Amino acid sequence: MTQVISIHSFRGGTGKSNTTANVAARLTAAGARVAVIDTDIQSPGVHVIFGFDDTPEPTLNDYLWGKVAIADAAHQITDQVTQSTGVAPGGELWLVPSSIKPGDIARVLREGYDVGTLNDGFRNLAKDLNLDYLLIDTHPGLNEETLLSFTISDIVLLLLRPDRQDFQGTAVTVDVARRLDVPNLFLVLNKIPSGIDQDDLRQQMTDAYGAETVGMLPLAEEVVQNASGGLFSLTSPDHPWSTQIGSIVARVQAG
Amino acid sequence: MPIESDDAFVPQSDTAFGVMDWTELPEQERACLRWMLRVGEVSVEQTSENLHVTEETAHDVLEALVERKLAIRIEERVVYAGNIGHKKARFKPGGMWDDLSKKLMDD
Repeated sequence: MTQVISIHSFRGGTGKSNTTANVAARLTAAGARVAVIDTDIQSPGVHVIFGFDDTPEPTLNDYLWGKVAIADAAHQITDQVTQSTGVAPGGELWLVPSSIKPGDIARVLREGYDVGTLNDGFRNLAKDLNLDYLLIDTHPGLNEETLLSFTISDIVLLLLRPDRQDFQGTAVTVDVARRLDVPNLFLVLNKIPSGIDQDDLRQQMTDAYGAETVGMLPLAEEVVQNASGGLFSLTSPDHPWSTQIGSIVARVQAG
Repeated sequence: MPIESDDAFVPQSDTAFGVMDWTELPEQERACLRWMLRVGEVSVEQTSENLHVTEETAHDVLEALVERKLAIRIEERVVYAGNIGHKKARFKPGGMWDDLSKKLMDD
């Protein structure tokens, strides 16, 4: 059965899309059939990391409005991985983008949409593409899509920064995730400044949230300079940031 | 395995009962609903396999969900019928934002 992974954070700017794109790419390189779906319909962005200036069409918006089937909104982007590294046999990557057009975003804000239709899309996408992994890039904070993605996910990767606002918001999110019986809730700490005792920080996280920390991503100048300009963990595989992405991927693969 | 069930718990309104309300349900029913969201239509046999319970227990779990109006039976299959949620419209009728959204959609 397809492993559904939600990448979430209580607040914005934690690195969800960057983490989603890089984890997806590494899973694909390892030979998995992977799809990324951008459910951050109000502020889409993961398509940029995959190298698109505009969102390929059709989009998730078109599916939610009944114009196309979900599979038609899934764009084959395996070459985004092969540009930097080899792909083991069987590996393929798809992207279901959300539209970056102002009119499309305005329409969503104006009309809303049925979250049940979104769930049908998740299910049909996994079936139609025979996916090993479906990665859901979510909008930050608690909302209808978050609750849905938590409910159907096998794994929730919860991102946070070493910041008091993030710590408090993560406590709220962990509580919700536990209530919704998320089978595997993993923490990913991102943008960790140098000089911090990482072992101590990891232990604090475990003590505070009772959840496993699977990635400790450093605040790296090179990642900042990359500026969502590509799949950093593929172009710079030996960088400490990329090593941590590898740790996250290994934990996801272990189930 | 005995079924855990709270007969007194019936959603007041179909549209008001969302996934957060599932936390009030017995564990087996919650597990069943999660699985139903993932796979769509289910049968008693499939439910039995997924929940690792007897077919009799699986039947009773599905019937409990039907009773709560969280599922409907269509011949031999059961489908989730509760409310996952609706992304509400953010622009209210009238006003500056309504005009802006119309302009963006027309462009």
